[in-house]
Amino acid sequence: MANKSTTIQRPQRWDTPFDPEMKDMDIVPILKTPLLSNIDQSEFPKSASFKDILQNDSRLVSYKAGDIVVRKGDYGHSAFIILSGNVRIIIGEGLPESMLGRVSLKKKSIIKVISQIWGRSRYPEERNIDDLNSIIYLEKDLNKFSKEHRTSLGSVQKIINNYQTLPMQSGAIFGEIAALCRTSRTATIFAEKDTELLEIRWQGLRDIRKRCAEFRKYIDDLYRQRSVNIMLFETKDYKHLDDKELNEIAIKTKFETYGDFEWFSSYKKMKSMSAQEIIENEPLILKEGNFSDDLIIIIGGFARVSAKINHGHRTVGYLRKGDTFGLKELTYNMHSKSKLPFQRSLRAIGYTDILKIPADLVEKHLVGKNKLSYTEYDENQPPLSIALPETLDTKLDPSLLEFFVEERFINGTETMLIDLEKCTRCDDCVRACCQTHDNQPRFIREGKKIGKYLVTQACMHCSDPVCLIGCPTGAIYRESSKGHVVINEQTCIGCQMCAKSCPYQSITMVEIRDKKGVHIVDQKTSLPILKAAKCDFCMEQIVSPACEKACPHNALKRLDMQDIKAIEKWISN
Amino acid sequence: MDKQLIKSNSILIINSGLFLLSSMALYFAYLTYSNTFIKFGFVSGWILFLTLALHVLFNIRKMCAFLPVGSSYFWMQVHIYVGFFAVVAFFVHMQEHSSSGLIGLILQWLFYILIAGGVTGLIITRLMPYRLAIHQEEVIYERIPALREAIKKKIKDIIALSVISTESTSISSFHKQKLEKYLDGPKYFWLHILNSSRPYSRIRYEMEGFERYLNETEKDFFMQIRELVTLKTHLDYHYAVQTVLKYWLFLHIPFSYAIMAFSIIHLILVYAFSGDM
Repeated sequence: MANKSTTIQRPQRWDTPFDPEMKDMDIVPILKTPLLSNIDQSEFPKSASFKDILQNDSRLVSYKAGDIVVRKGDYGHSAFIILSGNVRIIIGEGLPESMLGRVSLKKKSIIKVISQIWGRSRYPEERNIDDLNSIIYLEKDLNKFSKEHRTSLGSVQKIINNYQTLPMQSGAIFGEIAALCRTSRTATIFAEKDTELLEIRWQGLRDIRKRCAEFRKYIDDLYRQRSVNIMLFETKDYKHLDDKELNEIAIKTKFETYGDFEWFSSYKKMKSMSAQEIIENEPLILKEGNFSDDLIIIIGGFARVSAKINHGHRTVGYLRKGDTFGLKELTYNMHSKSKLPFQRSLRAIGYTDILKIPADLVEKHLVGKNKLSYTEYDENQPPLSIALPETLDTKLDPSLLEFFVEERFINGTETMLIDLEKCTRCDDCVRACCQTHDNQPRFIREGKKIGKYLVTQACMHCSDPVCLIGCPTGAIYRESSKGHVVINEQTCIGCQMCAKSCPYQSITMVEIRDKKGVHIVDQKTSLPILKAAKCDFCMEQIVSPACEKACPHNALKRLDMQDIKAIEKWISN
Repeated sequence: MDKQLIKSNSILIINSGLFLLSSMALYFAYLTYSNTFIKFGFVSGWILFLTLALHVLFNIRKMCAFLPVGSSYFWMQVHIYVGFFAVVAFFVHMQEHSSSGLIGLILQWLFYILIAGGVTGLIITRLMPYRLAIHQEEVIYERIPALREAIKKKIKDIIALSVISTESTSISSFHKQKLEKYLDGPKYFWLHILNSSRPYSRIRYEMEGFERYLNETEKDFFMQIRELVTLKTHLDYHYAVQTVLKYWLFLHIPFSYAIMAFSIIHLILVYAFSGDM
């Protein structure tokens, strides 16, 4: 006779509210905030009203003077609106790490690691039913600021005197860049006096932005304005400039967006196109042969650099956040009689945010102060040879480069590459993954192949993790210390949004079982409960990643695709 | 010498250097101490035993991927070069302590089998992956039977469709006579191991010979079948090569445990009957 299934109630979108103690009467004063009071509540559906969003996706948090609200570099999932008091943003060099109270992620102890030998599950995807039934909050991550883990900077006046700061007053919003763009916090912000904030997690922010056009425009304009200033302050080429010079640049710098922020939808459609059709469909930022008086800096997304070859375009490299384009042509033109057009084309891959800095400012503030040298003019040297920026001086095979760009593998920070000429197909990597994940491997040794290289369907922990976008509960998120994308199973409702959003099919939906091996099913529908599962980069293990360490032939490597030098080094070995 | 060449082969150079140095040191020690008061047979025996123990530890390390004991690649390098060193140690030990009894003889032959297996394994693991990498598709070994069945079913579906469309059973007859047996399970195992092109050419010859008797419509169906048959041949190739890659260890690991067991017996016996040695 078949074992009777274990049943639980299927988790719902707001089963785990941001703050379970948030009540209706807490919402009333929030609605009077200038930023939120103008929102037309009729634009929201009854199933997800504006009040519901505030009640379930936001919470009230209080900070004492000197408390850090957000730290630069942490991956954030929420934005903040100042209800009372004020905060200060630390700009410029920022605070030293020691002051920021960073806590490294807790790895398993050696005893727990060794006990994995005999503690493995007998059945696939076994789960402890008690864990699933308890409500676990999102904030498992040690670096999140629960009251117990809050870090204080001490004397506020001392911070203001010793570091560059800017005030933000009541009614202002901050943290929206990290929350909406799936990136790390761009600055450290602390409370100048006792402050009360409304923290909205990104799902709520997304839903409000989706329904209210005015709110959306305000947030988008704020993003553009702040991105310019932050990017300039952070780029190493501008670190020598003082505030006045930076402001002069910021005022005249243009911000432009190309492509579609939700690029993963169009990416799937483009799979049926030929290589040249794909390139021609990519938004063109700059065309080879055109002249321009601006230096381009990439501040978001990726861009393809290509050269016209015969009737097509050959990819010669890709740019990511912080890279520049056109510097050599600009500096060449500054002191030569003949003008050189751009030697390469620049196209947006998916989406790209750029800054355009006028050439006169580049010459005034960067070149000639010995910060950047002029490109040497040599009448015997053909112009084509001087165009490529240093970041594109890659020795990678062109076919490999085209492959990485077209398949969007450039997004990965921990891409699993296998050299098939070394791989003996022993599956020691998969076995190691099983050993570290309770007998369940979190990747399959298959994927797209180019020549002798295989890019497996193991989570790449993307720099732009689109899997985060659709998650209704925030169960899939970036952990704070190293930015790996992880899944909190307790809050995963099995909606499959992340698995469907992932362009690389790295997320699998698994049917969970109890200790007897029987499927755990939903109380109402009797359908198996699903949970999203993927590589977590062995975050809790001492040895990380186990797959790479387990390969006896050095055939498998987890690589940051943004580090071209590392890829070149591995390939040359 | 090319700097890049040296850099990319640095591990090979260092390991080979270490192996040569240690072998020379052992042999020099043998020459110096073999006829002195030190019973060099015991020393060389213990060295040999420890090298064998180190080899067995590699297999245990593989079962504990979560322990911080060095990467598997490092252990593999140690395994290979200590293996070569074990050969030197074995022959040095044999000079001092030639085997005459049954246990000694068993140990000797187990060692020969192990070394032969290890060297064979080294060659296999260096050559076979190249051959798989240049093949069109990458296939997971455990999926091959299911893929083979899927090809079989798809061919049957095409044949059924061809019979309905062309009102002819020629393709169906050919399938029954020539293809059915070929599609049923892996074929030409040893020819694929030897990297022979005969499996491809044989089946292609059969099919080309039959194709001339088909009309255009039948040829369209037959072309699809040909592609699937070629795919099946690729699968057989993968099956053969990956079988060798996976299962050669079954000839190596059991003997390593056997040699450890007999070594321990040998150790006990040597110390029990060594007298005043």
